[in-house]
Amino acid sequence: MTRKKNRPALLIANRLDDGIAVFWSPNGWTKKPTLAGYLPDESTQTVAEKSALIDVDNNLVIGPLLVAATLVSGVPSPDHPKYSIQADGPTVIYGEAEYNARSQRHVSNV
Amino acid sequence: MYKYDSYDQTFVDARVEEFRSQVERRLSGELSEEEFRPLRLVNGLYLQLHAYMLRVAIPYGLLSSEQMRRLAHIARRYDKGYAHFTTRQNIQYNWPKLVETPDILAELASVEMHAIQTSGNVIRNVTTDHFAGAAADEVADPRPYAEIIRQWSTLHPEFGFLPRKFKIAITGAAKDRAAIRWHDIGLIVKEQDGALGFEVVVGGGMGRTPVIGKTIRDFLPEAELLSYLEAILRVYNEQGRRDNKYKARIKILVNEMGEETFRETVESEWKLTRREAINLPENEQRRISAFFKNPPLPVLEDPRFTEAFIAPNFHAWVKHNTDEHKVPGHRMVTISLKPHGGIPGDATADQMDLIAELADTYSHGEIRVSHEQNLILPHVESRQLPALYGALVAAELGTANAGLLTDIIACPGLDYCALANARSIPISQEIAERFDDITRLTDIGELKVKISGCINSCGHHHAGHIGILGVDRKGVELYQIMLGGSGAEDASTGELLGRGFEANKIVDAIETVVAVYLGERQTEERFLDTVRRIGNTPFKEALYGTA
Repeated sequence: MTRKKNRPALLIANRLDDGIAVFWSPNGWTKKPTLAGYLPDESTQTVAEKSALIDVDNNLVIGPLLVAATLVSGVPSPDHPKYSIQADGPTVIYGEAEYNARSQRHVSNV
Repeated sequence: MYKYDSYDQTFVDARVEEFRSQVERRLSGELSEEEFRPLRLVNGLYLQLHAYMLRVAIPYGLLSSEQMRRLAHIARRYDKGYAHFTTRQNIQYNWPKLVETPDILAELASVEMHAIQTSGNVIRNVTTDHFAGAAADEVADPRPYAEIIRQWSTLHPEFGFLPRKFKIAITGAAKDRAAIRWHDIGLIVKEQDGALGFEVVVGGGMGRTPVIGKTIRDFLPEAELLSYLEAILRVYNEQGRRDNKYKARIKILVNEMGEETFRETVESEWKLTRREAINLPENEQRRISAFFKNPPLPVLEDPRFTEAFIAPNFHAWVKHNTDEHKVPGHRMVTISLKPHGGIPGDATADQMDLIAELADTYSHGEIRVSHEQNLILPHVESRQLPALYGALVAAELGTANAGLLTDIIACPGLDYCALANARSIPISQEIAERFDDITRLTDIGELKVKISGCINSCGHHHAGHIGILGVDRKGVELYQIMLGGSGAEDASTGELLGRGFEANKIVDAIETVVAVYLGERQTEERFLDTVRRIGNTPFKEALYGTA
């Protein structure tokens, strides 16, 4: 894992059994980015890393990664768009929801 | 279409059980992620940003209605009710669970499908012309050869650990609808002195180093296909670089050796090995070809559609989304998966079920998948077009934009892909909505826009008449424009115009490019031809103010 020297971070991974993006928190892994543990310094990041690596060994998660984050309204939010999207999900609606929204939004003339 | 024999079925079923065991061992911790990763990849299972992604091969883009229904069922039961048709005639599920993947593979095997070799440094799904077997301009149907190559390349013991992934495409028509010259090996079926054979093109590819493939043999006799492919692969396997994955594709080897030296090396290898290699036994070739005979299609009169009973845009749809069939009175129908504002290549499970039903009703149960992320009903009676169009429109599948500006190829981009640097889907949606006018689109004419969210080029931006490449500049998504690329028989690489545009400026920039074209074009001149005639300078001036 890449340590975020002098930068606050959160720790993101994917759950092994279903691949869903999850976030480390002192209370365990959570799917909700709003509940992610905020890791403001190296010492908190080290604690989180060690905990995450144990969970890697226990086959709970894969690919834990510290990503730079900022507190926004008290909630840690990844600084980079890539990890924001990983945290929040696709920025586009998809599947039936997309189909229904498009059908209602406008009638294409093509 | 090709039907599995007992050997094929046993083989695919065994692979499912093998993977089931591997998944169980991974979940129990017997296999580490490092050990498991290559095993899941050769079964098409990636880990993306939000979840696993399963890539399923649709060999040479051919699907039966039964297979389509099974794909819809998988989307509904194991995923989130939709799936994504890709630029290499595959289908991808974005949310499968690892624990359920063996069950998905078993479902696929039950309809003679699999995900084997849709990832990894192996020979990938063999692609071809989506109009194969039906196109009026065809020398011969390439699908039997594609099937033969599929069988030869699947778990080929010598080519399971190539320096890098390897993509083969084949066409039997003069018009290239399979991006032949953009593949590691491209094959063009030709006739010479009454005999069939192949022009062999090698070393094409996109990615960070776009290269148009070179013809290393003008005519390879049909029976020698596999031995010659084996010679090319052997040279690549032995001499391709393995020290740097960015320089490991065959295009780099061809470039470093030089075209002539590469050709001579392949020919020398071929002379040494051709007698021992597997050639095409005539009876086996006939056996496989027999699977690809078209259904009985009567010669019919083409109807004249009067305005009175025609839905709005029907004529535009017939013009853009249907093509001449080799049997008079029939058309090949392109079902656009590019509804304006929609996600290119995505289809819901309900839409897939409907397309299966329409294939049964109108196209002898047959469906094709194009590398341009559309679906095709290949054998539709022309007189049935109004009814078919009505059914498609009702399901948001009747967009009359095939080959037009809004028929955009786009990779999943940063909304899904762990490799991407920028989003592709929202840009494609905004462009399509900006140009949401059939009169305007028809006036602009043929214009292929292709968007990639990173340099890996899954969205084929190098081959776009307008290519758009998303890049990351210090956490900001920027979009570069390139002009003049082509994936057709006049293959060319797009040329970068200049600095990238922010997401909220890129659609305006595309509109500016189109305006320059409309101002500069000569009568009936395509966008691509105008760019080739006038060069990039007028476009640069319009976008940046200076050339």
